[in-house]
Amino acid sequence: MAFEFDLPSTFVDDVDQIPGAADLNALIRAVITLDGLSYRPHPAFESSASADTGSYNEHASGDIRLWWGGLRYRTGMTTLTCEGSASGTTALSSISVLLNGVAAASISPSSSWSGSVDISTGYNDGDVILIELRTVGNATKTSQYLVRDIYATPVVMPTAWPGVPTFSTSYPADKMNQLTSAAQWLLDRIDAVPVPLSQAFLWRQGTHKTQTYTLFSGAIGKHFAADIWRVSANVKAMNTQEQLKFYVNGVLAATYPSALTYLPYGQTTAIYLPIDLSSISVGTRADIRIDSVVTSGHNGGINSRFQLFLNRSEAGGSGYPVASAPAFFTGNSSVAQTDLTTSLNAIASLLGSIKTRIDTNTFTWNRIRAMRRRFAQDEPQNTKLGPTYVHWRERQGRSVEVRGKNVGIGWGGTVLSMEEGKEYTYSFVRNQNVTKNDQIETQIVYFDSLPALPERTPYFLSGDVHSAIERLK
Amino acid sequence: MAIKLTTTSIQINPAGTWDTIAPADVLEATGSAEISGNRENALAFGDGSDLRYTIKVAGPAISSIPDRMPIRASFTVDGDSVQVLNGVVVKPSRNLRNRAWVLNCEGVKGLIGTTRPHSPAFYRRPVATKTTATSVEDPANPGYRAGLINYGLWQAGGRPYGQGYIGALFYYQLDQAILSPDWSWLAGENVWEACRTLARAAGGQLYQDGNGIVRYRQPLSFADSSAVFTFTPEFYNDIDEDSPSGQQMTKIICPYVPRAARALQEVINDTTARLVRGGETIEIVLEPQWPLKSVQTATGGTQLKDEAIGATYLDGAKVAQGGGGYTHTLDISAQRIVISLTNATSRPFVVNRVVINGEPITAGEPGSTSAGSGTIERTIEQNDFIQSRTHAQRLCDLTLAFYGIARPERTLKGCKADANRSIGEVVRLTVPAWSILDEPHLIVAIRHSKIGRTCDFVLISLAGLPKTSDYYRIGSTNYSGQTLKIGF
Repeated sequence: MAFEFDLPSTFVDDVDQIPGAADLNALIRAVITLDGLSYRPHPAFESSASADTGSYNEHASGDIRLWWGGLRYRTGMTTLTCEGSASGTTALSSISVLLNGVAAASISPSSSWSGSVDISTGYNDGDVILIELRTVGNATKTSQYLVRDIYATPVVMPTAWPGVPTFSTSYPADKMNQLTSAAQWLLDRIDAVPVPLSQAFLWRQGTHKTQTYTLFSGAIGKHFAADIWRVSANVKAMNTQEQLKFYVNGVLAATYPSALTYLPYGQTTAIYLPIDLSSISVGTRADIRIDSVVTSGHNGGINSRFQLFLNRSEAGGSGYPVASAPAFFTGNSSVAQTDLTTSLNAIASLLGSIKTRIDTNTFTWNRIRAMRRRFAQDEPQNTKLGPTYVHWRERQGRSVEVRGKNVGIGWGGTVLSMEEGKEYTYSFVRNQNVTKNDQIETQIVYFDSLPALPERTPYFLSGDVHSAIERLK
Repeated sequence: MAIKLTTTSIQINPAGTWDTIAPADVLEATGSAEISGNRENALAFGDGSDLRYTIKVAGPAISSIPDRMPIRASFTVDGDSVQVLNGVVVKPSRNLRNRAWVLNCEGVKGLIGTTRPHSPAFYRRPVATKTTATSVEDPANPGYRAGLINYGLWQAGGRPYGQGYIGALFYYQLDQAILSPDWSWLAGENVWEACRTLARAAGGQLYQDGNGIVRYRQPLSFADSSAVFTFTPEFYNDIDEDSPSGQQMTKIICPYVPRAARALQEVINDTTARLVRGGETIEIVLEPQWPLKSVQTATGGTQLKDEAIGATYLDGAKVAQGGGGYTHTLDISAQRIVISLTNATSRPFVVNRVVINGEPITAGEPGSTSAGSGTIERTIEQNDFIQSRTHAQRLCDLTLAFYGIARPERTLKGCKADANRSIGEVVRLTVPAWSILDEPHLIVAIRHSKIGRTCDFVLISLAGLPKTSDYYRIGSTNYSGQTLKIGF
């Protein structure tokens, strides 16, 4: 079973209740877990994929869908914010923001555009708001649009922060329970900002032509000082001279395999690439792009294929900071009062530090990000590309909240059927239906009810997913 | 030696009021009170008690003996009175020529055991919570947070000692247990045995003392009481010492079965056809496979959702929920749901299906853990309330602290009857011939003979046992500069 978060039972005064080592160690473990959870990788914000679904710089002339997705409304949210960049746009064109199909805002495109919508009324807790951004008045195939971020604010907790106690020479129940309450509150606070699932590219076709073929564009957030941009992919290169190029804010940041070498022809190459983000300030996003650059293509017309999994910010090098927690207690052992007090106050101090860290990093912890639906311009494309762009995540928490139609969950490895020139097909070793085939509904999948899905196991959601967020609880 | 005047008082309750039998009609009273569930080990966790008395009463004093008639007995020695029995008559018999009743009696566990309540599922509650003058013991109170032993004893008719309840079937007084299972519940078992199982899972003992009070003592309290009395050679005629072989251990193994509440899902799908005539009320008793953390109900929590009950009239039309169809009430426990359903119309209908969703508490993969090493290995009996490795490990460590050394059982024979001594009391013992001087002991049995003039006391040495005062406790006590222990 994954993600255990154990807290002591309620403490009670004056009933000869003896605080056990197990109780105190549960608090220490909780603090260690919370410290770790207060840093986390974040998937790249997905703007667009390749040209057939409307890439950032190559799309149909006329009005197109720039972005669509879902966001789960929570009590207390007041504002939906959309941010991005644009260039080469048609004069007097705009970006329309639609919520549940109704136009809610109009944004003038610019090199850094932003718009917001009041969502303080009209929604109930748990509703999934369908969001779509469309161009209005676009008349060119080469206008460039990138959606950098879509999020709702603020995050409102149902209960107030209980604070942390200070111990001296006695151990009253109210202070002990305050430690427990603070730990639980922090878990709830972290869980109040769930991570939306992102799309894996499962054997997406690239190009066989001599060209620069954009595979992905979006934005990467630098949430913590240690963050880098990590890409994990598999590439079956079918062009004699092909490279992958990675751009940050329009500047070439990495070339794979290297500036002077090419992907091995006809072979599948696993890529696990760190890309430096030191030029980016903490609390900001950078525009990113992944291009397949072919300088000598495949004469037989067979496209390269790509699997893209990890595309996220994560800790580089030495990792995220780790707080120093008190030593664990041994059951039935003697402890000096001063040492016990020191340990309890250290637990309290760590809890307070985590709270401060969360409060300070509003970029990470005061924004609930929307999930992008499948890269597709219309329903036929949404259906056709169902096997290609699949929402996924490595399990961390206990459940995933899903809204959509004909959604299934698959895990445990894939069985692949490959035929050149055609879309690859595959099936998962294990799978289960999540939502009905013929109607949109919301379901919660509890991972522990599924066999062989422990922590760090990837799982995939097929079908028409409107919103999918993983929860710790 | 002065002759002590001893009288025996017997009271019976055949019809709701207590009647005292005339002393002249009490021919004999013999019996014992013992913490004695495990004969190998009188300190065994969970151990129940045996109160067994045989009372001979002149025939004309009692006209009839209803089943399980309550009975009380007390001995008065030199003006000091002690109640030695508060229980029931389990086997009355009489003889024509002898013109006497022989009443075989036992403690209230005979009454308690006949109660088989169902409870909600409690999460992370100590198996017993301390009873005080103000502790909330009534499960109907919205502030109820007591343990499952408290719950079971209340449902069996017991009331907390010291809260002023009058006329209860029996009284109970409980310590705060030091261990809590993740999930605990009662599902219609014999309450006394269920409470003993809970006590075994948390350490400590459940017993009825000679005053008739049912007590739970957490294990660290055994040695914590201050002794007010010392047995010196003038108080006993002889001592037998036994060292039961089965109690010592150097390694203890404890199995556990994890329990966890699962997601909301279908937990009942009952397709028994039930005919309900016009105006009739039927009771539908449903027992889910797993105990339930919660049951899905309609808003307000007192009614099932409309789609939970499928009922049709004989012509096939659906029966609506409400005054125009059926009404119902719910009694929801962890492992039983009772639907009292009334046909609010004049037309008969059939209940075809009952489907209920809930959060089941399912069992996971069993495991085990151990403490200690060596060749004398014991395994703790499988217990439904040991549900995590942490709990099992704590119980192993606690058990080893108690049973890592041999503890002899010492029977003081031919003692003068003493109204002030009771089982569960801590006393001191001096036996100069064995170099035992003022050593703390626990009274685990008192065996009265005849009409209580003499008795035997069975004691267990408490030397070296961990006790509550060795540990830090939650509360306002100032521990400045002290070094005490952290619990298990």
